[in-house]
Order: sequence, then C-alpha cells, then structure tokens
Amino acid sequence: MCRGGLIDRLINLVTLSMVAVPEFLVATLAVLIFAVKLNWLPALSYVSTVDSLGDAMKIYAMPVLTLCCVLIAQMARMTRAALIDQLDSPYVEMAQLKGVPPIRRVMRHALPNAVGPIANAVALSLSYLLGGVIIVETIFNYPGIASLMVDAVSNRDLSLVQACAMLFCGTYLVLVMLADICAILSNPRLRNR
Amino acid sequence: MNSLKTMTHPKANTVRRLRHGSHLPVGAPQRRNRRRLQLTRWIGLGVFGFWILVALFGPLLAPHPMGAFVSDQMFGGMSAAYPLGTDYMGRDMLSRILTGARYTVGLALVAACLSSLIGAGFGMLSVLLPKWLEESVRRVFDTLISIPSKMMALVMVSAFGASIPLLITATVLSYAPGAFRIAHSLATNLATMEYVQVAHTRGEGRLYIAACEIFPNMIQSVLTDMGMRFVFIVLLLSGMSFLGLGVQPPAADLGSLVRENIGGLSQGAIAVIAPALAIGTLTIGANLLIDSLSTSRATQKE
Repeated sequence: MCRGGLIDRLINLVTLSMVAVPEFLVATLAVLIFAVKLNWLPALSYVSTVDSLGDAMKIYAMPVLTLCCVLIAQMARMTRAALIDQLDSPYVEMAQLKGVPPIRRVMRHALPNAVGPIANAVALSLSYLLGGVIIVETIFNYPGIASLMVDAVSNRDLSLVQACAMLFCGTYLVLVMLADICAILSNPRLRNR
Repeated sequence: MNSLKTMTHPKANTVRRLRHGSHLPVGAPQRRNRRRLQLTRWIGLGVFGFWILVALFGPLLAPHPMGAFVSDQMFGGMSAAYPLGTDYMGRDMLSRILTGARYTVGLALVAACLSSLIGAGFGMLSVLLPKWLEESVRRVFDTLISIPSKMMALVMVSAFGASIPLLITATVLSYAPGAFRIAHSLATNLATMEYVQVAHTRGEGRLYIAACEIFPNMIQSVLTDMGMRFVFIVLLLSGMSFLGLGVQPPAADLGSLVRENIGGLSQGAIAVIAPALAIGTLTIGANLLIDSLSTSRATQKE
C-alpha cells in the first residue's frame, strides 16, 4: 500500500537480511533469548505427556519459530512482489477510480489474483523446510525421521538412508503437486484446461 | 509584501540539475532512493569485504594457534585476553573463528564459481546444440533441480564419506541446475535478438556467436546469480558441518564450530553464538550486496 515509503523500505531491508540467515543461528538465538535469559519457554522440546493446549504451544513454539523465521521473510518478499505486480493492472486502477479504499482494494481485488505466484513460492519453500527440519531436530533433540536419517548417514546404514530419503522425497513430491494444483485452481482461466 | 516574497524557499525557482549524467532537471524521490541503495550497498560491501579479508588473512592475525589449549575455563565469557571467550576444551574462540572462516568462505566461493561456470556453460552450449540434445540436457538438469539440496548432500555423504572434494561435488550438483536454468533462459532470449541474427547472416560460426555476442550480455545476470548461489552454498555447507557431515576435524569450519560448542547453549556461552553470528553476518552481507547491485542495475536499465 505505502509503496516506497519509509515502512516499506525498512521492511524490505529487514526481510532481505532475514532471508539469508542460517537456521541454526535463529535456533541458537531463540534458545538463548527465550529459554536462558527470559525463561519463557522450555529449552527441551520433547516431553511425553502434553497437558494442555497452552503447554503444547509453549513446547513447540521455539522449533516452529526457527523454521518459520526465514520462511516468513521469503513469503513477505514474494507476496510484496506479486501484489505490486497486480496493483499496477487496469482493474485495480478502476477500483481506485470508483473510490474503493486501499485496504479493500488490496484484499478483495488484487490478492485473489496474486495467489498463483504465492502458491508457487510456497512450493519452492517446501524444499527449504525439509532441509531446515533436519537442523531443528538436531538442535532441539527431537527423535524424528530427519535425525534418524542423519544418524543413519553417520553410521553408513545405507538401506536406512535409502528409506528415509524415499520418504522425504515422496512427501516433497506430493506437497509440490498439491501446491501446483492450488495454483491452477486459483486462476479460473486455467481451471478448465 | 517583501516578507511574503522571502517566505518562499530560496531554491524554489531554481531548477535542480545533476552534476553528472543527464542535464534534465531531476526530481526529489530519485535522489532519496539512490541514497538508500547506496546505504545497503555499502553495508553489504563492508560486511562481505570484511569476511573476505578474514578468509585471506585470518590465520595470520589470530592471537593463538588454532588448536592450542589456552585456558582452564570451559565456555568462558568475553574478556580482554579472550575477546570471544573460550570453547568447550578451553581453546580461544577468536583464533578458531579466524582460522575456520577460511574454510567456509573458501569452499563456498570455489563451489559457487564452479556451479555458475558449469551451469552457465551448459546454458550457453544448449543454445548451440540441436533441438533434441538441448531437450535432453534440460530434462537432466530439471531432474537434478527437483531434489532438495540437503537430501542430496546427505545421501552422497553416506555413500562416499565426507571429504572436501565430495562436498564440493554435492554442492555443485545441487546448485548448478539453478544456474543452468537462468543462463539458458537468458541465452534463448538473447539468441532472438537482431545482432545475433546479423552475426549469423554474416556467416559467423556458432562458437563465435556464443562467445562474443551472447556471453557479454549475459554476464551481469550470471554474476548476480553466482552471488545468490554463494549465499545458499554457505548455508548448505555450514548446515552439513553443523550435522557433523561436512568438514571433518581437525579442520574446522564455522558450522562445525557451532556443533562442537552446542553444549554451552544452556549456559548462554558466547562460544556457540559467535560462529553462528559469523555465518549469519557473512550471508546477510553477501545478500545485501547482491541485492543492491542487481537493483541498481535494474534501475539503470530503465
């Protein structure tokens, strides 16, 4: 909305920096700040019993934050680029001439048409997530499939490595297919092809 | 009357002109945007240049040798003698980071140059090849690009062991297809330009067209892309070292430094934060620099 303004440039700078940050930096900083200094969240994230929703959110907050941090920056940049692309089109200009307020212009008119490139960006981020989950499991000591794979690689257990790789890549392919289907469905012009 | 006249801005009636470049009057927002771009570019250049210097001269500046045990205190804090604290065995973190940065930056630069070279080379080559060969090359690279990079690196390390040539090979296999894709689309776009057709009509050979007509116009975008590859490769290599599958001890790179000292995380030791911050500043600086260069080129083109 306020393209080129101070807030826009500041957010641009912040997201540009955050895109390049390694996951373990975010994880170590998060653990340092939230668990050691402020003591808001537990550092150990795997407990066998989860008592309430609040507990579950506290336990999973840090790993999810680590994974999401870079992705939020990436999605923010992609969304901004896609929306700016849409905001320059004639129909949005028509809406502006009709007197539609800016927020409604963005949300109801430009955003539904920008979903296609955003779904594409989501698909691309999936491979990043798959890599990030390995690091997060190592730092927070989750006994998950990714750390199983890392142990198998260290121990040269080749059949286990094959199985884990197949699982991961199969999941990745299914998710990418879903994202592609979403992108096609979101554009009514492509729906009937 | 006079006071009303003097209330206008002293420069209100003069037309602003640039001291260089165009002689047309220039408006205000472009000036402000240019200064902003300069800021990100100088920050990026400063940070990235700092790490290049550390990679080149780090081991000479390190106060202690890399493996020397200098203190009895594990995970010591910042002090005058040990500016970045001590690690889990009592070694000086500053020296270890200065020496380890060489591995990180050097490996990533080599891998980025190689993958850009191979990707761009194949990209230009495929414009010259017959149609069926070009299609099959593109399919091969498309398959490679769809495999997540960490998965590929993990599988290759499990098969062949973690050595430096293998790490470079795995990284190049993951990131050359991306460079190929960009180079290929650029080359096919450029091949339709008139000057290429003129050269073709002149009777120039295919190799000459690729080297002297297409390549010089592609090189800016390829270099920008190489910068992006560098950032991703640093992240991949440090991630692999963090998992223990990258650079092996006694050689230390920044990721394995984080791995060794992860035990100090619960104490809030600086030995864990410092190498992670080092990697973070390296990638952020490179990213800012690349982005400011590509943005400034895009605005120059318009």
